[in-house]
Amino acid sequence: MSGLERSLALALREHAEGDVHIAELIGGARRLGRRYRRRRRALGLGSGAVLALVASVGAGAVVPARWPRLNGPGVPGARAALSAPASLSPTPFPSPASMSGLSRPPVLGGVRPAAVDPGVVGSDPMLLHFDLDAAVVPAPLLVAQWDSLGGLERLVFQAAGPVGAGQVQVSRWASQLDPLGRKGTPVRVGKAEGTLTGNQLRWQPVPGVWAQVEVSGDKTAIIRFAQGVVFDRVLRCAVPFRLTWVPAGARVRSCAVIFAADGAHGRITIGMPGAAPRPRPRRRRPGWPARSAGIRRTWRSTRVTAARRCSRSIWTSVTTSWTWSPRAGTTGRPCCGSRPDSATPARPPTPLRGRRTRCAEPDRPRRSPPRPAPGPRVWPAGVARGCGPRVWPAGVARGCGPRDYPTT
Amino acid sequence: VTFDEYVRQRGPALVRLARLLAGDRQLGEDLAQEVLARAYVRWDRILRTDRPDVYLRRMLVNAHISRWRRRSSREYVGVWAEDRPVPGALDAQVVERQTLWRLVVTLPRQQRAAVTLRYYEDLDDTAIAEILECSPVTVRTHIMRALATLRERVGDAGAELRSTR
Repeated sequence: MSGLERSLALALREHAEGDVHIAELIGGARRLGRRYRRRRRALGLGSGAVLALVASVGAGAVVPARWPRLNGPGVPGARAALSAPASLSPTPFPSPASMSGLSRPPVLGGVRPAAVDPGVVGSDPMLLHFDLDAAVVPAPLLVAQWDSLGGLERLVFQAAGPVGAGQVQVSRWASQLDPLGRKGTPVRVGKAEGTLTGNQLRWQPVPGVWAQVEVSGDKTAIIRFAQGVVFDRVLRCAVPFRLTWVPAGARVRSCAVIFAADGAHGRITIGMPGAAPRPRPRRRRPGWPARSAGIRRTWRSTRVTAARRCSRSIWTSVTTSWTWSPRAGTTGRPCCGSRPDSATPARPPTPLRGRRTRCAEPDRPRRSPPRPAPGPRVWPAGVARGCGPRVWPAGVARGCGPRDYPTT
Repeated sequence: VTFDEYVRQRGPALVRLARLLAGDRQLGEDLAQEVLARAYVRWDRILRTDRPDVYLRRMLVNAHISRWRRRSSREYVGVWAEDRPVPGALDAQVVERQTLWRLVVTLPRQQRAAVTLRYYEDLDDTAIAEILECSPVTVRTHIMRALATLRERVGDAGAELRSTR
């Protein structure tokens, strides 16, 4: 062993040393593990019922007007649309047989599809710029969720057969898609070249648009499934409820509509402009937009918070998501600092009166009293507890609970 | 062996390895807890492999790489403390080890993992290859390149330190 190697071994040993609190480690791992397990079960059972849920049936029974901006003064008629009485009553649940095919949101005409203008992908969270050929959809289908968030449009489904779960992701940025494995195989999807890694296949159907599918099966089946993804139409993320009041200037951040055997469910997240950190590449890559001063400024504004992971909470601190279920009625599920005054509105959906409060980071109130941290260990104080803005499949509650860290 | 028993026996080693992989104590402890939580969910299956040590180390390396790929992992708040050692104020070997550690953190993820498993965990090429899911030749390549990089950068850092005296 050379001198460098000896020094290296010593340096590593010095920096690895330190007390390890086993009891906390076990307790934290068990709590977090149980949370993972609940999430997996919720996803595995296709229970959109666990979370955001409800209402109309199939693609036809539907919803509110498009909300490019909910309450802006520059959008004539927007306030009128919001203040209109809820026009949709819960419809009877579809029979499980109705989920034998893929349910999808309604097609919106008169707008440019991604095949014509790649720039429209991810530009409006209320629109989905892809569709899936019903012929490639496995049956019977248990649940299908269409959602759009932060530029990423997605379809996640769970089938009862051997295919199991699968998903389609579409974005203008490859970095927003799930990471591929290391060993990729070049394949062709129609006229486009793609990369196949395990069950994942990524390709560029149109220059400037990235698509990725993940589905069980052999290479031929995966390619066939990918060829079933089309970009010549636009779907409207139609949720089965209408908000009659939102904070001034609020915008839609994400939208999800979930079709399950027990009905259709919807979820909308709104936030204030400029509050959401937008993805910014570390360096320019093909397919990435040029950096803009606005994006950079927004991103930096999230970095002045007290702790690294607080940046997510800043986003959610001005965001409230509403979900609607025929069982629970409309509920505003507050994330971090937002809370509606009406926790359990009557059904059919009634106006929500939300009040926005900022997260009191880093001293945000905890759900449970903090435990004293034994020993000399110093944990980062006020670490935001994983309140991710992402809309998870099956509406798994992700988010607002305390993480398993003691604070000092 | 139950999950609790295993963590009591092997948890500290796992946490220390995580600290080195992450290059930061808190991040490493977060990483170890996340991996143990995922292991807790499928503990029976992991036990059936008869080699939970290898399995968990592989989970740790993969989780570290996955975390690095996440966009949120690149958000750093605050200013990095530039507490570089001052030549002459400390023992020369301490200065060298501090310099070396700062350089190790800058190594590519796979190279850092290979170096850590070799020089901290003291594993052979075959065991490292099993954890990193690559061939022993690749492991040797990673280590060789990492050492070459460190030699080169240590030389530069040494020259820089000498010039400040």
